Amino acid sequence: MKKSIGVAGLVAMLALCATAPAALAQCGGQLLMKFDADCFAYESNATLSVLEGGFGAYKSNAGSQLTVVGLMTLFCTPLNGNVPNLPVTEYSFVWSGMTAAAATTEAVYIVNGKKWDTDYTPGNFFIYEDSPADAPRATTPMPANPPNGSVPVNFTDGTLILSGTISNLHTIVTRTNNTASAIFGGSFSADYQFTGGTQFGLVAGSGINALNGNWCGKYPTGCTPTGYTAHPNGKYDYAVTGVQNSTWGAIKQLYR
Amino acid sequence: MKVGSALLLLIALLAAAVPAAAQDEALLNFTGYDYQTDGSPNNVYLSLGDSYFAVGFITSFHPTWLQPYVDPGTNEYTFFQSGLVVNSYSFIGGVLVVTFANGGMVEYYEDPSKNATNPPNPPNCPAYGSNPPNADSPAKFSDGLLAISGSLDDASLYYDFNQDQGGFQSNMNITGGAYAFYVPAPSWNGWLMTGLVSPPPGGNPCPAPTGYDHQLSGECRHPVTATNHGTWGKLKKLYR
Repeated sequence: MKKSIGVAGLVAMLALCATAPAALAQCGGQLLMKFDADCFAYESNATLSVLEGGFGAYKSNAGSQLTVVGLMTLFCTPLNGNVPNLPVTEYSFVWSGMTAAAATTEAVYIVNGKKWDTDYTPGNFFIYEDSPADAPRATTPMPANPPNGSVPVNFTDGTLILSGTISNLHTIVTRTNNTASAIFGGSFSADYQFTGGTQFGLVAGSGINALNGNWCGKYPTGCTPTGYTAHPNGKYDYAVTGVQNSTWGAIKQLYR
Repeated sequence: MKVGSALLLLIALLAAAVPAAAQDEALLNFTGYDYQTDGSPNNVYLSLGDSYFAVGFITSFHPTWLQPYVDPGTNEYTFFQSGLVVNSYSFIGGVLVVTFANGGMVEYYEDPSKNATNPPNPPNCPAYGSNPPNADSPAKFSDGLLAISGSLDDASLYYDFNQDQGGFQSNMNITGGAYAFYVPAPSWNGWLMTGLVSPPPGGNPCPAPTGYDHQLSGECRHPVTATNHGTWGKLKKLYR
């Protein structure tokens, strides 16, 4: 009996290790919020382009609706009071309302590789604090073919702490050549602005800032679980507008 | 003794357990900045012969291979990417594409001194310094315990100046380091990629460090080693 309890305890400890917090990380620079391994995108109308070697990437058709779900791993000043602590507390997010402004364009990359570019119309983001954590993750794994019973709904429960708009989202996926050993790369870049949420007061007046990072579209890999089109990995930047101490006298002088 | 052995084996199996459907997973995630040095005096970004570098911080780890063994509360986890020399160059329509000769490397460090983080942060800023290489960078990002080292082959970089956005990608094969043995040997070969954007002015609360070219946000992905499902009966048979 004691051995059984011991085994159960060890199993529980290992399970906890496997879902431990995503680690503290260093802030600084422009970084405000970071998301890493547990973020995936899916679309309503994307076509898989499989090239030589069996690897490919999804190309959006015009009007394809993009949804991104994920978990934040790091918050920096002034949001550093939020500490992701899986499996107790998660900070999940959803991007929605964006559609491919036109079909993905394809160009030659290096000599015989490919480069896919996609622009999206503006949309919104929503960040939730939720306990206990219930959103699926890359290692749980992500349930196939979203929308489904847990995607995106398990990313949109809890308290809405921040929301805002996303604009100028542009994604790039590259493939270095046309062989099975080709290296895939990718990136995304967008602008965002906070508009609401229970913590909006902490970031009110911050204006438009950058949202960017890596965009892994290689298929079939862990970047594209069944039914998902890409794996973003990136960050929200936050540039504080400079302020200068002054006096009423100095301000009056400006108008004389 | 048999129970003890079985217990150890069970622990090993659990520690290595991964979802069967996954084909690769993020080994490490990171942010940082990149910079170049001229192979010979020139005013062209990443021209032939120029060298490409990056430094920064690891932001999260593989949940079973590395996370149980790191302690970000006590240590900082940094990286230094080096040894990449441009061997082909193209700039057409505002899009830069370069490839690098094989022989690059990336090193991940565990350092209790936290001299790159430069705490308390805030109000202090990470020790990127200005115009690298300098007294802080890459030195403070490449000291401490070498946790994992890797070689970089078939590396390339693109940057679309029309979009002010680009990416870096490379094969990354683990070659050593104190934590390397936590990663199953069949998963040592993977790939590294990162998105690149130009640093904006301002910051939170630190300005972008002068003399660096881009901000990075990326990850190193490695294949997951398959595991077998078994029963207690089969497990016992191994020890009879």
